[in-house]
Amino acid sequence: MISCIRVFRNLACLHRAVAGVRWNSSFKPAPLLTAAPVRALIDEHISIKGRFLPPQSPITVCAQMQSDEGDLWESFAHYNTNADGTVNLSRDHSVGGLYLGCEPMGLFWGLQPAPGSREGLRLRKKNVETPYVMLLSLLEGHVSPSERKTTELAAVSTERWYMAPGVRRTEIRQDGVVGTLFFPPGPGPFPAVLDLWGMGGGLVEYRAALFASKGYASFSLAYLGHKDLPGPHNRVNVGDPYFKSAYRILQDHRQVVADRIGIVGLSFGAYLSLRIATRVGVKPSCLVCINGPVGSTMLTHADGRTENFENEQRYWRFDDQGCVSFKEMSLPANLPPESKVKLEDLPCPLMYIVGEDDLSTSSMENANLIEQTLRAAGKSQLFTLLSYPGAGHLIEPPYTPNSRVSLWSFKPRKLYTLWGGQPASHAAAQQDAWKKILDFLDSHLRR
Amino acid sequence: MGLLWSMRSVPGSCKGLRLRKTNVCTPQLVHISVYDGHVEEGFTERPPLASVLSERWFIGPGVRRVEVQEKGVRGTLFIPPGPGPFPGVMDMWGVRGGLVEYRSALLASHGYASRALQYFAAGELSSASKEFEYFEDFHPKERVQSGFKVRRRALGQLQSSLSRRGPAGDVSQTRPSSTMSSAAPPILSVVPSRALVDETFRVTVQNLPPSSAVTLHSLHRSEDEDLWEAYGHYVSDQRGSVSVADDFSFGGTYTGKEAMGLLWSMRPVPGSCKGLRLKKTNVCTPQLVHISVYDGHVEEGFTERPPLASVLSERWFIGPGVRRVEVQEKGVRGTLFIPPGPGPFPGVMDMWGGGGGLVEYRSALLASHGYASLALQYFAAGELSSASKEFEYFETAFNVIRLHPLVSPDRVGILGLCLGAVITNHLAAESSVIKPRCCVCVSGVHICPRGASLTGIYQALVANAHKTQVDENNQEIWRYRELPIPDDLAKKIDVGKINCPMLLVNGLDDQNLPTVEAAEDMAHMMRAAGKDHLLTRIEYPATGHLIEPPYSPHFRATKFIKQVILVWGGQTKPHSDAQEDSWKKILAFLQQHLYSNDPTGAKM
Repeated sequence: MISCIRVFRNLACLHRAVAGVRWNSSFKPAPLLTAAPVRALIDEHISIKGRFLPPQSPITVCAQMQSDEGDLWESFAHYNTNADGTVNLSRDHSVGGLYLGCEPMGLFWGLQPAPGSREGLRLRKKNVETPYVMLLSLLEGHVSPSERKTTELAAVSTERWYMAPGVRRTEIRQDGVVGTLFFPPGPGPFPAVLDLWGMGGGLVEYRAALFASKGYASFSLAYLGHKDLPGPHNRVNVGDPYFKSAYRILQDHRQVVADRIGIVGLSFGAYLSLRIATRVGVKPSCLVCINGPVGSTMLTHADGRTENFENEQRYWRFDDQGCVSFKEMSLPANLPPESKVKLEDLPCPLMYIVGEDDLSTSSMENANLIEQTLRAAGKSQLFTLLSYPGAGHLIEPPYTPNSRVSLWSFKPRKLYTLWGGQPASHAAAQQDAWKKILDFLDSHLRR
Repeated sequence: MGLLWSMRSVPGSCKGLRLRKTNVCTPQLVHISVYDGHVEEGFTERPPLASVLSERWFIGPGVRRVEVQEKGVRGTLFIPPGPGPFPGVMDMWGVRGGLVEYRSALLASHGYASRALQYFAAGELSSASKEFEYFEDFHPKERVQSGFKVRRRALGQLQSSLSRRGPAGDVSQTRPSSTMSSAAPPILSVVPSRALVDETFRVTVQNLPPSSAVTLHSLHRSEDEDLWEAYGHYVSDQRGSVSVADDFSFGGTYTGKEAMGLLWSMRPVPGSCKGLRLKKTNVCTPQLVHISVYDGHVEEGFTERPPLASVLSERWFIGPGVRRVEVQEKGVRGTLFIPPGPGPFPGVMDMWGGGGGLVEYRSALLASHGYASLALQYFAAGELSSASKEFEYFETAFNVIRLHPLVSPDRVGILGLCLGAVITNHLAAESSVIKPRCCVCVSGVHICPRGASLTGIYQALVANAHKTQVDENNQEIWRYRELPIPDDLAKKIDVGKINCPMLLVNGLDDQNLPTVEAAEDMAHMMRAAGKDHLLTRIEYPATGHLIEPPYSPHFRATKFIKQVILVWGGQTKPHSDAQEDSWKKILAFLQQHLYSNDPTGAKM
């Protein structure tokens, strides 16, 4: 603060100044919509406020953005302005639209494919070197953005990034290993995270990019469904030695602290995390497993390779819409004993995250099994369980939308799979779980 | 908190007074009053506009005070509320002696069982004769005091023992110590990592050794490839953390608790050319600032030594979605920045000073705050001597923005700095063509020959060239060229004709123009014309001519044209404070007059 500002005219004078101005009858209202910060990481909170609006009037706040594939995503909610003509999404309650109540980030996690879009979309960032650009608008009245006649009052644009400035992205094709390494800016060495996704396959970089933005060297690893990996692409053709090589690449990097490496896995990636920690002769410092099983019905080899995913349909269950749920495949009773990881060999702390509405993995049953096994082995101090009511399978970084159902495969037929999750509960779970994951990594990799 | 810490005994009091609370069970009563005008003395004789009473307590509610007289030990024990056991502190004062309780009371209010210990009578240092056993006896290993356990802890251990709880809370309890073989590297974070230039960031370092000396350093490579840097010397706390916003810099290009010191105290690295000024030309890219932490208190040679950690921060003038439109219309040259959204938006015509050229960054920032803003060029960079625009040019430019389909024609104001502010004054007072809704003049004057064009202004300036002074480095001080302020109405703008709200922002150490003298004269003229209600003046101490958007470095003197280095004035810290505060006030003024529908209800 300035200790000695000389202000020669007090506020009363200003008011008189204004009163002296002749008001033109054509003086139209100029509403203002602000977002702060306008550029943010995907997990950062954005404050959205509308001002200079008519008091106690219905307005609609909506968000629109294009995915990297060119699909339009949008969300909207209905608010009533306050007596002072403002609306503040961190303070006010939505009374209609895609979410209800006070949800400061509802426009972000509430995104849905615009009406008329392709079926079964799931929002995933392909190019992490560019942001999502979201246009936020204020519309007059309580409307839906797809209505033909809406009046836009004001707008503001925001950028949502997975990658912080200075984060370096390096593609790895080494010793047969396919992945992408992200490094935070600075000399390092850094603690590291090995990042594994599920049987959807391919190389999914965004969570790893975000870990690097939080100060971790992170390695997003592909293990099926990638052109640079051995085919066919609907099964895992690499085994334990592959994951060991990947771990070593990370560990041997001069900018990585060799004994401060954690593994984060979702779904089948969680199973792989447990396998790597117990079977392949490496010693990570901690594991985060999200909605994954302790074994697999698909293994064909002791080293972890699998058969074609579609070959074994015994445990597939279809709902009345024809969408498949893979949940029963991972019921502990259905898991072949030889595929199960030896949890009693667990060398490090494990955080296991359960979405209680997971329709793709029997997460709670697997969590219980892990807990019992570790207790029997006298290792229950290694186990932290987080369980979220109403959350589905795909617990991702916060403020991103959940897909309850999405397209699983084209061939031999178009197949949609169920993930589960209620929008608001799932969003709350993502927000809380992400913070706890970062705290967990922080305490085991950086302290 | 200046109203407390700068307290002193009122004039006429005894000498050498010291304020010490004896009865800690009552509060200090402080009367806070507001008086009309800038008063320096005689407060008690005049009626305040309003007063309130503030209670300042050393002791929190529920803290218990127990007088101790046992085994010859004299003192007072303060116990926090709650069952305990509490960590304990033995609290001793110095050579004045006696029993001084207030710090102990405050410690107990923060959760420590604290014992104020007397070890000789007040004023009796010469007879102080306690043996060290006196202090040791008093400190039992563990005791039950008034039914509450007080655990013994050495003072030095206190903080670290309390901080041992990691930020992960209960999660960290599961960590086996075996995984922590190698030292954890320091963690440096800057949040947000991408920001507008007028937004603050939080710089923190964790995982340093406790109480270690570190240097935080910022480095920016300008578009001209010059290197700019700032640094501050810190000492990590008991947790091994440094927070730039909360901790003191003990040395460097800034000192004290300065959240943004790493930006505003930037200066060219040693060995750079003289008279550099940092100006962003390409507003579509961010300024990149590397923030690093170094071991020890470093003063030079940053580039040769490895930092402990580094991060990159992006500082933007332009928000996402702001459109940049080059304007070449009706002879007008400039760049229009339009906010995202349907509009129509309030508009601002934005002019810089005698350096000339097209300077876009302030306009880009204004558009990021919701204004369609036209950065207007009115002569080529460095060509002040050939600047010859007539005032019609500015009227045409004003109408270009006013009549833009995305601009609200009734809500257009003018913002000018230096020569741009002179032109703003002229347009506001003399133009019969345009009617700005409000004007902001930063570091401007109203001196301008009646009916003159820019050529006339320049010629008047040249005619006074002999009044130029130089400082000890042969850098030119121009403010005396315009002094004294002419009485002759033919030589100045008749600001009494101004009909819109006018905000004057000036620095009291402006060495380039006599802005404060001019503001005084303008106020006089406007008052005489019954217009003083339109005028708001803000003047900042130790502040120079170039009052830029916040956290921009301070330039006391920079190269102007050819071999001329001009002194702008100002001291870095107060000048930077002025930049931060004036920008907030400018935005509030624009919002009140250009956005608000009910300006009488708006707050400045």
